[in-house]
Amino acid sequence: MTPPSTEARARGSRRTDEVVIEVKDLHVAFDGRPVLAGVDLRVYRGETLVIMGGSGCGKSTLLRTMIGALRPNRGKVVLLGKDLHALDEDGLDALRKRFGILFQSGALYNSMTVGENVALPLREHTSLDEAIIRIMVKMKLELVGLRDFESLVPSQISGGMRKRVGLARALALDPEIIFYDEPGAGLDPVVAGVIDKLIADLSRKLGVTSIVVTHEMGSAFRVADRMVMLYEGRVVAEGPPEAIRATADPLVRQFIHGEPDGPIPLRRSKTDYAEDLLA
Amino acid sequence: MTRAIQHELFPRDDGARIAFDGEIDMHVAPELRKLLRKALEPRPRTLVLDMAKVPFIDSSGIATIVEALKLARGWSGTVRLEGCQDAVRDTFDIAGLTRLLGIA
Repeated sequence: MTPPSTEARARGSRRTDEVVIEVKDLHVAFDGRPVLAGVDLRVYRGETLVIMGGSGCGKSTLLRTMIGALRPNRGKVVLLGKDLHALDEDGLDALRKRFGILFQSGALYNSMTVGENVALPLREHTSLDEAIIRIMVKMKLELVGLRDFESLVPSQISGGMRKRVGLARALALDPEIIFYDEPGAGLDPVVAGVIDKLIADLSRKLGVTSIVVTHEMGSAFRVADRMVMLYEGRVVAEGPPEAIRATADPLVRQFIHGEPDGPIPLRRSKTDYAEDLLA
Repeated sequence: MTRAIQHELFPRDDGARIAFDGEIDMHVAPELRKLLRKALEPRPRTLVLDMAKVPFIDSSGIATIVEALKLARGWSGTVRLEGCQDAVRDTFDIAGLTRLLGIA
């Protein structure tokens, strides 16, 4: 592993110069409508990269393509040295053990207890003894503050708690990379702050690489080593948080300050409204 | 796939010390568990784990050490870690276990 760069050390980050994800000229279209229109991106080991942008800018599509859940129309994703979309199922399964994903909803199995949900990847992918798995489940649940909820089922806990359990499960195999899809959405500010601290600690203390997709600017600035802004399927800004905060780019300024007026339009329809109604 | 764990065992007046060499991860944890259980068979008062040459430990390694401590407490014994490198100390710190395992 390469040592952290000077810039990274100054930020308290464990970012190295080793590229762990490379996104090259990525194009994705749904029903002929382009969602990603040529995204190029590099993620370095140990950094927390925030991908931000408004609803419909393509950030969730980018995340889903980066984890192999969506196939691009053009371009490629190289993840931990593997061309993701050229892998067969076995290759993809092997790679999936090395990264974790926190989905927006938590994506838990409703028929399993909280503890069983967290234990699932450990039972499926390791030869660890059941006694060790039980201790690990408690450790992972403690990380997200829910150790006493192990025997409940998802329907017995709140949406925010389900999300935290989803994070505990994403951490089960000690992944090298964690993808977070809107980690703070649906959480109260205190819990959202706890999750932000955990993201930062995993990166700064353990060197975990994090990719955080969010439109919540407070959280984005708290966790980011580097930020990328997507707009209309393209990267329109990239840099450390302080550069993004100080930018004169009206597109970025409107987004990070949540201003209603500016170059980002509310309406996305390209057809004329009156003509559409009268057609 | 499991891997052997490099180690040396030294007797102490009150028990034993095991010096490890190399990373402790999910591939090594099952072997580590066997080793610790064997070292605990004579019910030592203290089992010291010398971590000076361990650059990395994951949560399966930590859980295995926690289980050993749990066993040792059955006869009022203890398992203590010494010489942890910063990266290993950080891992125990995130897990909230530095005090439990006597990590200075």
